[in-house]
Amino acid sequence: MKGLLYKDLCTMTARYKNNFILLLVLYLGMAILLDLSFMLYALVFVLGLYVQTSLSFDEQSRWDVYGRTLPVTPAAMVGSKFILGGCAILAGCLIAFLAFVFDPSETKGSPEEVLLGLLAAACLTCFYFSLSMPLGYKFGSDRARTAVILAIFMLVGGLAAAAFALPQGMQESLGRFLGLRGPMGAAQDLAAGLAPGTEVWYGNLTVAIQEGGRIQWTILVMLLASAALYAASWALSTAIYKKKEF
Amino acid sequence: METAACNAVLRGVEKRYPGFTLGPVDLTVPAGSIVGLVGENGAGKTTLLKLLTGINPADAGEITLLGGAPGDLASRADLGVVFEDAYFYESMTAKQIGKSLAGIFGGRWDGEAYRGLLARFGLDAAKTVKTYSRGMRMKLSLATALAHHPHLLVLDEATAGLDPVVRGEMLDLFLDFIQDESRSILISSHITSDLEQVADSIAYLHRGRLLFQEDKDALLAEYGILRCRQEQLAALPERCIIHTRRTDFGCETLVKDRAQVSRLLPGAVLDHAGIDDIMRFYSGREKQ
Repeated sequence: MKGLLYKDLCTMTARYKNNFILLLVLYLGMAILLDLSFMLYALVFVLGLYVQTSLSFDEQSRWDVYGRTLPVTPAAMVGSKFILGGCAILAGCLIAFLAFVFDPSETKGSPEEVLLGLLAAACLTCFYFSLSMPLGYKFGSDRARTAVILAIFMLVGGLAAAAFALPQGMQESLGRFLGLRGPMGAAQDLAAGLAPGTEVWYGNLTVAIQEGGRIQWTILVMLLASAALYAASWALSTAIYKKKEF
Repeated sequence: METAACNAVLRGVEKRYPGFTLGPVDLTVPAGSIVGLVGENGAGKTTLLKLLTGINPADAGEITLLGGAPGDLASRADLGVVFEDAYFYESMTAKQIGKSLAGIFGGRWDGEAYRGLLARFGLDAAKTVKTYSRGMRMKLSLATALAHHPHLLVLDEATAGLDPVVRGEMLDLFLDFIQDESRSILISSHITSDLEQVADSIAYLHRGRLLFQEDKDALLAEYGILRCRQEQLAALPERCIIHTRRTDFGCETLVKDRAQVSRLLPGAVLDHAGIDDIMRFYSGREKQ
């Protein structure tokens, strides 16, 4: 396993070192100088994406064929990508957290909000990674990009369809919570006298914590769901890899 | 051939793809020998090697690789593989590749042997693979295939595109490798002159079927190209005639059992047949 991790690390370092430094400067610059804190959350996601591209390096050099002749189990072969992916997400969170600590901006949010934001970014990256890896092994990394977009489209479409099936009142609440109502919706809220509660309605979790919301359960569910999804994706990717022919 | 004395045995192996079927193939790679696998492009050589090395599963038949199945980790740990175009990503250095394989092979990996092979091949370990020439890349592939002291080397077109000097070096290395009589090499190549130099037996794959696997020396001694008139061929028994090509000036025939053919047609021209000749005539016969 460590040989596989080392191989991917060397490949990505050689391929992306300059790209990563530029990206880091750009994202940190935008976050701190232009007061665009969300760029630091995006950094977590981008780091996860780097690991996902190691599959296409394997395909380009046909390492995937060569690798099958080595004394490595399919679970380890696939697992090394997931371990590296997990490390990349953690590294992204760490870099982003340090950047937040040293960010002089006043609009970056409270430490709790930052931690929750990073957790959300990490979960989102886990979700994307978990979705794209099995598709990458199944269809190859190029075709998997289209497949991932299609899968996300279907998922969002499915959720939207499910949301539309809800009673009108619940639809409104859900839209407010997810911040999906847009400027017109916000204007309607103001007109309806809902302005004082908009932060809560639009998903300001810090306020929810201050108001005694059981946010710890949300965190726990997010962590467990991400871990379960990641493990399931690892198992599925391994099963696909075992059956894959070259 | 006794299975126990073989590093690889394939029995009735088949692989079916839409539009192409390999096999059933029976092939043995005896310990202490080099088996040359020849065949036209698309004959199924790489497909066969992929089945043997466990890259793909066979649809039918039985494969024994180094005493186990191709997918067994113990078998793979004792296997060295060089494929023409499947390797590490080109941005890695030879040193990094060695370190990665050391992590994969664990205690079997002989770092000193690896560095020794790099030095023997004149490869700078600090340079990336992309800066190497084709010959250097093949040497590096071979160094990585040898550094864990495998008992079977499987080489797919490992000498293709190399200049005669580099090819000569590699052939010498192959001969060194099998010296202890327990190791063997299965090598597929279009360069039949290389195989004539080093192979102990030749396996000829044609359109997915193994037409023969024979001892190379016996093969080259047994087959000949007969140049004579058409009516003279009637003097030969059918089993001696593999295939005849007719031209305006007479006919050219690949014959088996040269000694008997010489006796029966003492006035005819009978030349030695190389592996290329044998392949061309067998291929012609199959097309008929």
